[in-house]
Amino acid sequence: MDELALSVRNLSTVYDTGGSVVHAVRDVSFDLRRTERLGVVGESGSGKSALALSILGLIEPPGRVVEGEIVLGGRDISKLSDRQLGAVRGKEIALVLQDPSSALDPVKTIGSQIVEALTVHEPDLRRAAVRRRAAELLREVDISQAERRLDDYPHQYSGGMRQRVAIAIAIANNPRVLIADEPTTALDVTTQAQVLALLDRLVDEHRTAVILITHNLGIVSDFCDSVAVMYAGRFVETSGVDHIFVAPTHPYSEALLKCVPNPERLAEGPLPAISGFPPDLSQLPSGCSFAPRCPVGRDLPQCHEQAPVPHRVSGPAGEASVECHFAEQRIREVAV
Amino acid sequence: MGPGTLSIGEDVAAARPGGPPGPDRTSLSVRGGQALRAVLADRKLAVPLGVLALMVLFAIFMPIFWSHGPDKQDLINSLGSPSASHPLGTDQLGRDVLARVATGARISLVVATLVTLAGAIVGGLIGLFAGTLGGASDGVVMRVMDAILAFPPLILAMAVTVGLGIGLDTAAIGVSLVSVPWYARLLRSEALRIRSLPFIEAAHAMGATRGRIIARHVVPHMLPVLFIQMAAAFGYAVLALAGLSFVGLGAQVPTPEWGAMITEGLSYSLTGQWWISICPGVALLITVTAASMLSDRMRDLLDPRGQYARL
Repeated sequence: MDELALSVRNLSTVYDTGGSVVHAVRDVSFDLRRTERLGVVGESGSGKSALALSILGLIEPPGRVVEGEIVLGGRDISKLSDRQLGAVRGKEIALVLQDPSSALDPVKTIGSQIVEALTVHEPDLRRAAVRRRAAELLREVDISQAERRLDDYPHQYSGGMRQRVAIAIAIANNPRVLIADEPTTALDVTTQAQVLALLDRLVDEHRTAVILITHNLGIVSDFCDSVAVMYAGRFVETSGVDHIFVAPTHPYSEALLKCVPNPERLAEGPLPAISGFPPDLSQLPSGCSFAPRCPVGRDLPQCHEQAPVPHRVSGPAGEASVECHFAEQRIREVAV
Repeated sequence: MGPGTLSIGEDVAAARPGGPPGPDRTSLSVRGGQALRAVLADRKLAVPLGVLALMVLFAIFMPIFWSHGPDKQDLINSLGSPSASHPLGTDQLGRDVLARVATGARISLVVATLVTLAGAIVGGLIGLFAGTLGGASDGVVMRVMDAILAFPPLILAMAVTVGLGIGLDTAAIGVSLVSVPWYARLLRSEALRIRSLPFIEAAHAMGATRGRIIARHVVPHMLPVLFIQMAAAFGYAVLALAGLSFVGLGAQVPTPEWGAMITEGLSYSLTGQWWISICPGVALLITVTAASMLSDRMRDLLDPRGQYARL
């Protein structure tokens, strides 16, 4: 087994908004091996982005990380000061944001922004050398005439190109872990595929571990090795990527998968939707947080009263860790 | 489809059929020329700028080349109406009004510029730090600003002037102080707006320090709003300084300050010697109007929050 790139233990983040406390991330633990690509899927408001920001130490007040260990390359970064974290961010762990049109400073040239990413961590580099390196990075993300286009401003780039620049900035210092927060959501389908292919090639070349946050299961199946389904701030099902598509064990994973449009199932009528709404993260139900919407446990007192612990199950497509009282029973049904 | 089967396309060509535009490989002077032409083409911008430029030239060169000094008395020719040797007439002591208006322009423009810069620097820094630090320091500083705003501006400026001792310098301090909270409030809200933009988060994620982000990414975005406010504050400073001098709290006789000149000439207006008051008054009117037109047009063009006409 490869060495661990990132190990997160019992991470919890809350937003304390005076009257109510919003539990955005609740006791999340996972390991990320070197070169592993973990997909984190879930609805809007399930805590995916809060998780990314928590790992990077970028939660702004009134939010705060209440507990948890974040071990990056053998060092717990959760207790570091902001200044110490600054040396880690962008160097060992990098972030690609969702919207490329606003993730770049509109009044700075592309070149100066890539140069900044380099010099923040290596202030002693010579100007010419940094510029050469910046041009190399632009070439690496498939932008033609890189040397010349360094002096362009972000508005002179298309959306896909801007996202490539954001990726170039993220990989500039060859980080151990890359967190991509819905990197293709703001792009059209063709550009999505190109950006993903680029990311695919780069993380392969640089041997970077990736956390890909998305709500698109198609992207997960193409890109990821493992997947975590997030619901109400928790990882409700964690497994290899094949398992989730072959034998989704948590009722939420199964429901999520049914919502993916599939041309072969057109005859079955309109696309199903998960009834109800995600729970209010400031007033979580006492039992399983999915119980009120769950087709299995909606009417079972056990699900409403007792929070499920993670069950390790083994299905036809590998092992999984599932937070459901009926995990074993359900995986047996699938296996049959 | 596995990761390996994805192919890399080229959206560069699709996005720019004519090939990438690249930067203008033009020299700085050519770019400056382009900027100047754009300004001249916008009449609402060019007219007030031109008027202010003429006023500056008038202030610089008129006192140098005009044969009459501003304080030179000529009692035989006192209260003379406009003539060839005195185009704007003479006052009660026979001093040339044109020379006095020109010297007054020097005083007004220089002092108003200093007042504007002082207010912009102090108020701008207060707003920047209140907006970026937040928390208790933000609350305390902004309550102090609110307290200053609770006074009518001119009354507060008067109080400061009287408290520090009457004179043009203390009047300038009073007017500067009054303008500080306007800058502070405006730039604080700008700092708050910019701070929440995604590229600031991206810069944090890149590992940039707070100070670096403020200097390189927040401040440049605050400048347009700062410049708009400075243009407006400049006009206000010219007017407020003249106002304080008019009521006797600013420049003192015999300083040829516009407001003081208006007061001096006021009694003669009743007996028909209108030029002594009207001429500095018109100079004041032109300057303040030009500054206000300039700030209006700058807001149209630069304010990031409004959809105004574009260049």
